[in-house]
Amino acid sequence: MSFYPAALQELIDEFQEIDDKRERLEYLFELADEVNEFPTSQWGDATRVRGCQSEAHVHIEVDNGLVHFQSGADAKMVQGMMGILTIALEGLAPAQALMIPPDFAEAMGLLNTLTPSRSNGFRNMFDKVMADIRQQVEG
Amino acid sequence: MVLTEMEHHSDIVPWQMLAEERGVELRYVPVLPDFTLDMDVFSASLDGAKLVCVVHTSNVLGVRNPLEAIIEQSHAVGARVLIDAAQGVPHASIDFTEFGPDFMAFSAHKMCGPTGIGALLVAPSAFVEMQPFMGGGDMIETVTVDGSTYQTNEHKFEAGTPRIAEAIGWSAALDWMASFDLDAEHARLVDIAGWVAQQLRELGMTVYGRHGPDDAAVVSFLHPTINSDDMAHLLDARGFAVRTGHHCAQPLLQRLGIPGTVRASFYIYNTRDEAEAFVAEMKDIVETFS
Repeated sequence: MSFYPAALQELIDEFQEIDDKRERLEYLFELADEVNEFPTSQWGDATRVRGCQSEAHVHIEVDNGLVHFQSGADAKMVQGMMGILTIALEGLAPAQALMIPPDFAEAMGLLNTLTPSRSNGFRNMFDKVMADIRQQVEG
Repeated sequence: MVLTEMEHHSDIVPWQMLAEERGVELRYVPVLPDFTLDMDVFSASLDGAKLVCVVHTSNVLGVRNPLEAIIEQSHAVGARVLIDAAQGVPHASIDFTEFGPDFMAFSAHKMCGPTGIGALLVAPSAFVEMQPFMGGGDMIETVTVDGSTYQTNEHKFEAGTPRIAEAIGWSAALDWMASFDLDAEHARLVDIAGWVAQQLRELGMTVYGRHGPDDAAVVSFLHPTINSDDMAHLLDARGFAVRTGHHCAQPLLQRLGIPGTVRASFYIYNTRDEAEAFVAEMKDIVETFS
């Protein structure tokens, strides 16, 4: 638990308070608004999340020692998951971001909402974002 | 061989594999903008054809094909006909002999039965020409170290231990289905599907299908802005199961110029009240998320 940044922990708590599947899903949709938009004109092979059912793209920049995360997808649900990642990562130091374990989606009860292919897609997105941060730091 | 663009992958991929192995020429009959087969191209494709494989009813569109004409024209040029009736047998009582194709295939799990078992009905004139395709127990008459002789009845195709549990389950499903008047149920369900299709059009959806009296009660649709998978998840959270994606019929979707649809299917266990509840939830979803 101590690995989660405060904003992410707060979000996990909020999700854990929602018992209803429909409410949880619709809250996930609302989190799409949190995304820093990554313009479709910049979508390409290097930004694509592979193994995702939707067209999903992520872009990481480390600016002044802080992570800046941009993303975009054709499905609102994926955008919602990107919104969660945005809340989790935006403005963190890379070393702090890299300490976030991938199991927060499970803690949020989101994996019950998602189909197996969707939850694999989420994991692929998480792994790509972490790999991109590591690459930026290590050059 | 003549196929159509409306086929399920199960009636395309095995033939493509055979074509590669044996050099068979495959001809595909296109689907017209009104969701029917181009019968002029079909007639022209028959020249020299040996086998015609057509889906009884499209699993995406619900469109029931003009099979009587297809069988008659094919037989007139000496081609055999295989009907993929996976979506036909659950919706209509079909007398195989009177209907007249050489082969008719269907799956238990599309008619309330278990997965993993299906049937191929074969006309007697085709049956006598067919050789075993798989060797093993049960399909033999005698086996010696010098060679084997085979069964001549249907057991010649059924090597090894049969799917006993699945067959018993399928039989129970058929008994249950027999308690319904299928034709009356079909009319009730197509009426529901036609009504749902109209309601969805009024909500701004594009509906793929025509819902005529012989068609199946499936409604394939797309909303102009709400993503199909999002729609399916929103519906799921409200208690409605729909299918999204290419429905294992990619050539058809390529022809329609779309990657997939959302598909609501209605069957003997569904009621008009459920269809009305579905439309009410769709209205709410469209108002909230578009």
